[in-house]
Amino acid sequence: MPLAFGEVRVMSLVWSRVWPPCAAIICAVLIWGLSVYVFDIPPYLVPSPGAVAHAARERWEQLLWACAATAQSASGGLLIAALVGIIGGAVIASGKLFLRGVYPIASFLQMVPLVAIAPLLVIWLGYGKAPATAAAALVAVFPILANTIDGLRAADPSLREVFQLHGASRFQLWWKLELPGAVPSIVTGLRVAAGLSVIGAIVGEFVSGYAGDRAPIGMVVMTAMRESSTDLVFAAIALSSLVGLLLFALVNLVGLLLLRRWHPTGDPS
Amino acid sequence: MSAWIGGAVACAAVCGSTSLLSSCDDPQASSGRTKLRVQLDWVPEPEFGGLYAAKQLGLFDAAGLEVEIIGGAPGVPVAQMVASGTCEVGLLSGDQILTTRAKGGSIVALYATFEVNPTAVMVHESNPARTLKDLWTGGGIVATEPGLPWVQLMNKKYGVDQVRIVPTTGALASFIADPSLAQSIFITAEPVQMELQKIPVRTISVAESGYNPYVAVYCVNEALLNSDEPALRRFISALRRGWQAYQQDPEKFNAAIAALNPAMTVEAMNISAKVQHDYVENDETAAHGLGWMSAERWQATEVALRETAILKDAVDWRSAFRLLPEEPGR
Repeated sequence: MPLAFGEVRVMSLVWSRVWPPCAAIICAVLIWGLSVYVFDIPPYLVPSPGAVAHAARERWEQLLWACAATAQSASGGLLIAALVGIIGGAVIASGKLFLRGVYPIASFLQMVPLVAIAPLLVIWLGYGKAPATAAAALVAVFPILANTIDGLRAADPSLREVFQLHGASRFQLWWKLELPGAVPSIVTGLRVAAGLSVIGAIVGEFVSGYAGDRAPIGMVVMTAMRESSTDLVFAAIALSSLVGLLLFALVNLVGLLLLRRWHPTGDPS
Repeated sequence: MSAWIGGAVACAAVCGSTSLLSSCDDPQASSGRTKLRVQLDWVPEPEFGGLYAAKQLGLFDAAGLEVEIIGGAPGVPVAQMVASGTCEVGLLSGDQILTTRAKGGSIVALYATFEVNPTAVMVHESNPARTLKDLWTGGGIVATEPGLPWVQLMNKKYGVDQVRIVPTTGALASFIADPSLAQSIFITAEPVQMELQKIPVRTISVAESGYNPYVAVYCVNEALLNSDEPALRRFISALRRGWQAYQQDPEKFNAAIAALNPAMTVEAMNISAKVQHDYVENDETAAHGLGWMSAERWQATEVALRETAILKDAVDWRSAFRLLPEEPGR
């Protein structure tokens, strides 16, 4: 049965989004493999794509569990960061006093290097998922906070006047004008935070993860480095990027559902 | 005419800067001495005492060597650095040398600092565990460097159902805060810190539990060994004399090492040097000299690594080490 016009349009849309990045990845992998072969790079420095694929196949079960563990910490951290970032951003944006007093402190905290705080997280929270989740939240919170503040403060001044002319209360102004207007900005902050949360989780796992068959990605990387298994390190890194991409896709889906009806950034085409 | 002179000057400048740049990478430094960069796998501590003693006494200079000691830290990829030529000499454990060779890295051991593996697990005095088996079957947490062969041996022997293995950064704050935590250490280092802080601890030796590779082994790239063995003979001989001096009077050299590592006091280093004395010297070194390595020990390490499946296939352990003839001091 021939496809309906709508189905053809959707398939064409999906194909136009899928083939460019796939082609780029295939080119990158070819260049990588060719470079290893042409320059005779030893495997303990840079493994070939084939060696990485072989390592991934050999340890697929361990890597799958590792992805699941890291995804759990990263998504938990992202959720905490989203709650703290959005609520905190709303409070800071609500008045000049908060903006001038609290925002600089939040900016300062963002500059503190995570690798320096991570061992402290272990002392405060113990070993396991808690420090990794906390590390993910710490890294992810600031982009959400900053974008929430910017979004809430970016309401159109002429619309604000219209609301005030009609006697809108402070809450009505916030609920019906500022917050809806800030949603695109908040979604952008969440997109940035999605990738950062995976980085934060893995850094946390370097100091707090449990080793073994169900070790998270951070521990798999450290163990593989100790064994000089650079191919497994590469495989683990590739999968950590996949986890980041999945979180990014999830955030994009949320953005699509919230914005598609009324905002240009919600248009998938 | 001025254009020709300008061009000649420019050419000379280019040639001069090119030769200057190339001499930076040339092991035959402009001073005429052979340059050797020694990459440590940890921060400066008494475990490298003989190396620092040799440098302080001018033994390397007298041997026509320009030795640069580069301090290490947790996670420094010494094996890859030596195998790729980023540094000429590196410090590794015997098992790391075998696993690197299995992955294609041609590195060769020349001198073993510790004849007895000083790795141990430190527990609070109140911890009931007396052996590694107690730790692995007792439901506790052991903080150690992930992937260590002895840990994998214990995992294979006793299973991982009743132990949680977590990473250690080398810091002791978590260990001090949690009396149930066990931490992998060097018997010559962390227990000394605990003694000075009046925290009662016990140590469970990994060597006595059956895993005893050479540790703090000086290794080089096989290509360098084949191209400049005389320089490496002079280096090892000077290093041996440095260790002899350090073993006789470590306090003479510890102040300079402590200046490079503010986290460890001179007092702690003096105690550490006393503790490590019998790990560096034993009956074999009395017979063959400091830094001695035996075929039996290398073979045993290779067998243990295959038992844990870290090495999937047999590795030629015989070519993993070489004992160079002694060079007389200058």
